[in-house]
Formats: sequence, C-alpha cells, structure tokens
Amino acid sequence: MTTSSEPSWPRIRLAAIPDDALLVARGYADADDADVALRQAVLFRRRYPDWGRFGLSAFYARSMDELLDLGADPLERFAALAVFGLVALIDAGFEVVPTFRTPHVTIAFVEEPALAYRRLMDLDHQRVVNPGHREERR
Amino acid sequence: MSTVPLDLFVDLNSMDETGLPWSFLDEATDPELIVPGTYVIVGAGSVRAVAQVVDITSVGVVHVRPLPGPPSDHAHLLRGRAAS
Repeated sequence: MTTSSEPSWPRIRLAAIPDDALLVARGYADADDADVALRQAVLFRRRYPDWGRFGLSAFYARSMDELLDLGADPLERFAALAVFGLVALIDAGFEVVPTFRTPHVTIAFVEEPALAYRRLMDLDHQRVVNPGHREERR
Repeated sequence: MSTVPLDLFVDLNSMDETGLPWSFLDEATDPELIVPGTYVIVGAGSVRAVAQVVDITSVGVVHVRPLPGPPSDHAHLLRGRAAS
C-alpha cells in the first residue's frame, strides 16, 4: 500500500501533558545511543521540515508503575530506559511537546543535534533497567 | 543487545500519526527488501526487533509494526535470513 498525503508538521495533541506527568522516558540504546539519537533527530527534521525543529521520541509517565508499563510496551525492546524529569528538560531549554498518540512526546530543539544530545545526557537523569525487556537467547 | 544485521534503521522509540515506528526507505540496507507485508529486522544501535512492513508513503516513509520479543522468536518469518 502506498499513501500520498504527507504532513510536514507533526500532529500535536490538543490536550496538554498532564500536570502530574513528572517523568519522560526513552529507550536507551546502550553505547550506541548517541549515534542513534543524532540520526533519528535528523530524520525527524527531514520528515517534518515546516516545524523547523529536531526531535526525539519519548513517553511521559506519572508514576513508576506507568514507567514500567512503558517498559513492557512500547519500549520492551530496550534493556534500559533513560528517565528524565519533565521540569528539568524544560528548564534546560528543551521543548517537550505532546505529539501523536498519548503518552508520546517529542523532545524538540533547534540547536545542532550533537550539542543538544550532550546537553540532554548531561542533565540529571536515571538509567533504569527495563524488567519488560526479554534478552535474546544465546 | 544484538549484532543481528539490520534491514532498516528504525529508532524503536519513534512514532508518528499512525502510532507506528517509522523510518525512511533510504535508511534500508537493501530497499528492495522493504515491501509491505514482509518481515524484516529493524532497530538501531544494539536494539533489534522483527517487524512487519506496513506501508511506504509517497515520500518514502516506511511504517513498521514490531513483533514482541527478541528476533529469534520470529526467525521463521524472515525467509531463511538469520535472526540470531
């Protein structure tokens, strides 16, 4: 199937991120995470050129239980999750935008992605082992 | 962690209007493998999943539907290509 309509702007939800959504989590791709994030940030901007921002996908959570639910699905492929405070992200100058389907958010920025990624990972955050991940058998 | 060769770079954090992870067709190792309905290895870095190609848009955006669990669970869907 081939589809023809292509938005040049991400769908931003009308409903704001809930006030009690304190956590923002991304699957963490181990030692390769920087390369993956930079590549994806560039693909995001290519995909949505009229928005004029680089973007990284993440998901909000209101509690550790919701975080564990994210780890079971949709982030079950990741052995670890990088968990940031929503306020810390915003205070650091990142936009955290409710995009696409709840609880997805886009961590958006306009600066050069390598600088933004370094700034992101320099923020106080947690790397949480994902109990919802099932490792490949060896 | 996996070293299974990728068919298509997909950040499995990603989502778009469809609710599915996505990438561009030119991010495929071999774009001819990326055909709607087929199963391929997607992921990024050391992260891997077997996913079904859902569609390819007119500007080359590929949507995929990852299957749960590690790639070896779905090796039979890969037409003889190794999953582990």
